[in-house]
Amino acid sequence: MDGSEDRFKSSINEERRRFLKSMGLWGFTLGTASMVGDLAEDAFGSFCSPMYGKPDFDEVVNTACGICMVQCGMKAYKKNGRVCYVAGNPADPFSRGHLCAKGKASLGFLNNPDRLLYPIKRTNPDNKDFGVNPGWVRITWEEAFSTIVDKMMENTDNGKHGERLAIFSHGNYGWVARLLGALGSPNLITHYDTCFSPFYVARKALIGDNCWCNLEGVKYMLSFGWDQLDRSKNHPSAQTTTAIANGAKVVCFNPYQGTLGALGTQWIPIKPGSDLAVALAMIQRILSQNRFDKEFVKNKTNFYEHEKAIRDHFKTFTPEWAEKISEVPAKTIITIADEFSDPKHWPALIPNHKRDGAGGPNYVNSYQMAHAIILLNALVGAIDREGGKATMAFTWNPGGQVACAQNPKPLKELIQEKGAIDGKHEYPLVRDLITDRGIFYNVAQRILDKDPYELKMAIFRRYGIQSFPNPKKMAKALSTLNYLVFVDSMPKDIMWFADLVLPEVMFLESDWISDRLYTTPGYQMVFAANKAQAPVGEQKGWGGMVFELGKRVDQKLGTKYFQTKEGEWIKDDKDAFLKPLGITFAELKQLPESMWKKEVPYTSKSEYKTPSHKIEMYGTLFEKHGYDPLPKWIEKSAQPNEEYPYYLLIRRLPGMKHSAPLTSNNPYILDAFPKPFAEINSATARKLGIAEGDRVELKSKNGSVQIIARISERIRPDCIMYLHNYGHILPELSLSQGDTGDGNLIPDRPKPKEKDKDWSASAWMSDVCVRIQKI
Amino acid sequence: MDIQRRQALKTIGIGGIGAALLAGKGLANASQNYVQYGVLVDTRKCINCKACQVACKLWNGNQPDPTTFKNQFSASTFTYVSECKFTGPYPNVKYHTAKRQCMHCEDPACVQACPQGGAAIHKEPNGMVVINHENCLRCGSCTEACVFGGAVNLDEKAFLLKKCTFCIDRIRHGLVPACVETCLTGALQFGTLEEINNKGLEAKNQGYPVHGLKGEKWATSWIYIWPKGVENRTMFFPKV
Repeated sequence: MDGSEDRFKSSINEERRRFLKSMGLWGFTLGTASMVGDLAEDAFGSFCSPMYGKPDFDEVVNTACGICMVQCGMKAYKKNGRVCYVAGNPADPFSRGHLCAKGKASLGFLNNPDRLLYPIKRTNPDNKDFGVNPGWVRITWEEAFSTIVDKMMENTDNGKHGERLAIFSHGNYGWVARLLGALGSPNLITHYDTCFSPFYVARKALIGDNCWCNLEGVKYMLSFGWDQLDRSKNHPSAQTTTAIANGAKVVCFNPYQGTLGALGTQWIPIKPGSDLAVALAMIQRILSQNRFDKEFVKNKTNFYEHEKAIRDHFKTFTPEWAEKISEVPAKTIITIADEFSDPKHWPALIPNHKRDGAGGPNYVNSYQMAHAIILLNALVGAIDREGGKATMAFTWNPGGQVACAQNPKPLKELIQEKGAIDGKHEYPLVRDLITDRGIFYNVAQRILDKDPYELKMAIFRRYGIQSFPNPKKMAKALSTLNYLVFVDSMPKDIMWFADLVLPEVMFLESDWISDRLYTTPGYQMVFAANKAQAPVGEQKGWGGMVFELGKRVDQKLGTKYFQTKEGEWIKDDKDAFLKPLGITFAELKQLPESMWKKEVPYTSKSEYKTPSHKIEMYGTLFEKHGYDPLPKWIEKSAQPNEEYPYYLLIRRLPGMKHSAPLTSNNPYILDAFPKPFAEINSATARKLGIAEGDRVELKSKNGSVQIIARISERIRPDCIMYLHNYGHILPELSLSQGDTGDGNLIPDRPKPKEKDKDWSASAWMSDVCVRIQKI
Repeated sequence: MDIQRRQALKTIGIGGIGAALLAGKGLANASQNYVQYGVLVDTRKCINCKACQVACKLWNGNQPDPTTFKNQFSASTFTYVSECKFTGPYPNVKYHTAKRQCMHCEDPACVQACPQGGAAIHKEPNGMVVINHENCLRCGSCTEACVFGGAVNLDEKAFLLKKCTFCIDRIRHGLVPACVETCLTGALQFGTLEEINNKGLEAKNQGYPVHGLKGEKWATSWIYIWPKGVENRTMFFPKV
């Protein structure tokens, strides 16, 4: 090498010193050596072997990218037993041999000097707080597993009070639910309400299942804050730019221009949280003009069964009414409604995805917006279209399951019996339709209030306190627990409060199955994501950890929840998952490119999993549970005032996965996306005396962050845009950007006094106003 | 292609990929036939994801640059995505982004400026402008002469001048440049310079601003198509 790795190592140390200093920590490093071991010595030197001259690899392994759920086909190139380069697999029809910045930078995650390498336990359990040394010491896996199971038994009184245990798990939901069920706990909790519960519940309730928006062939794309290009997900980005190149009209309602607004046809800087008014007015206009896909609506939806109610409901939502709320001229709304509903512009589609824009869990009215988007898409026949193009299409996976000797009580029944610490029992549609997901918005307060009971122990997999709105409150809640376990590949700031930490492999270090849930119609496919190299430490996979804990719980309780009918302990479920395809995992690995794929023409369903077996424009399931069967106008909650005069917008950068350290502490990602910043309109900046690059404080009623300012023209003057992707308060994360998480600005939503009208239990993540000042 | 390397490529499957990528273009042995290569940078499709930046660092073994964090060329940053250009004030504004790297000019100013008379930096018959470290005096004449904003930079530790190599190593072994390989949207396209120039001409005829075409003062191997309406001041091509 040319010596530049030495420069980098010294830079890491310099950054770490600066970070520790800035965080006011006083000279200890939380036993870093016990976790990091000797990896840091060569972490960024050896894998970048000098390749100038010729491609110089020993072996290529077919695998898949595990950074996000798109799971693009990947080839891992190895030299001397280590992965030294990754590239997309051209045989994957969706990723087509390309990888985004996150996937490409996965070597910065694999070889990250801060990775967790061994199980560790706290030796200072009585004093948990930010800045208090936990006194980590390395332990064996045997000690780790036996300690965790002992603590599970102790804190649940041997399963008599399973509800005192919660697992906050990102992934592996079925087996985690089984482990909890074995102990009688209803508390499987995930981040769905902070990410996409409104449209997820809406899709489940109104069209029967979740789906994926296929943009291929779209001629008219209408976005309410959706910006897939800004997320840079692989094939959706390519589909979008291809549609634009093919002449598709792209209309973007968004207070921030973003990439879609820039590359699209028309950017309309709408007032934050008023998208619902425009959507309702569009429905009104389309119905009043009687110009919609009548055949689709008749054959596929329950529109004509409820026609009068629907038409009457929307009568008052005129474009003129919507103009007063949204500041979008009525004339513009009419034009867009007419274009969208004009068959010459079809296929037309309103895509939405996760936390994007108005249909995500951003505003008080987002759940109604999610319903309105389904209505608009139904009116132009953009749901489950034959052929699958330009449609909200259903996804596929083999879904085979292991048959176990004994099954615990289902999660749903446990929730009904005991209630859930995340409040899921108060949301029947969340409980029934997304039972194995969860609610983050108020769980900290519920833990503090012991509502509906006391939580004594928790296991967090991949979540940190920054995953929650009002993370400081979550930290306070976690400090009240008797025992806290953290599982991840990288450290997170939850470790200030954890008692035991289990290190997890990253995706290149294990065999797994890529089930391609985010793929488009036309293919059924799975990959064997082959293990590309041995773990850099003693890490294990989360699935294996759950099986081991399940086995030990069975042994303690005398149950058989983690045994096959033949009496064998379950160690793997890959063969069972693939069984419907008639192949084993070993056989899948041997297929060309380790890929099973079958071209299957997408056929539209004849029946949907809804009460009417149709797509429900009129939501009978909502009505049955006492909710609005049709979307109506609700005002956004936070409005600018003297103290907090600006709307907060939150953007997610294309190179980042949330604020997870796999990207936010990844040197390649930080090279490309270096610093958190607040973006301000130039007129606002002038008024406030803020210049490009100035340090500013962004403050909401919940908290503040100190970052730099960027001035631009692509944002409304009454808005401040901040990034979702940075911020960790942990010295082990040597490249972290300090206490800059956007969660600091987001209040945890209070528990409603009466029955919550928001059937999705959304966390309202952007319904916040802020002030900004130069510091 | 010598037998040993061919065998090695076959073993690891790269030969197959390369053949697939370059099949039908008659480029597999192009280094001997002096076919000129080019890359189309279609900024209409650039989504500012910066995957090309990361790919370049990884392929070239260039270290991330955690101390500077600047969006600019350096000895370890051969390429970056230039962002935040706009065409007007709010709300009549359009941002666009464009990848920047050595443009591998048709008549490179850096080569002209080299006191070693082309022994230290020269244009390959295939079009790549490359540095020969053995003959380089490290005088920095090439850095100063670059009309595209300093694409050649001194690695002070290694005491070597470094720049985008056009992935000459990959191209000669049947692979497209690392940045092109990973580009999600087709904003970067590799081909013969003739093919790329023709695509540029086609866009120009449709009214899109295009830079780097053959016959222009600043003809380059990397040809840029810009969105309509983008003002000249936001582009980084020198004024003609």
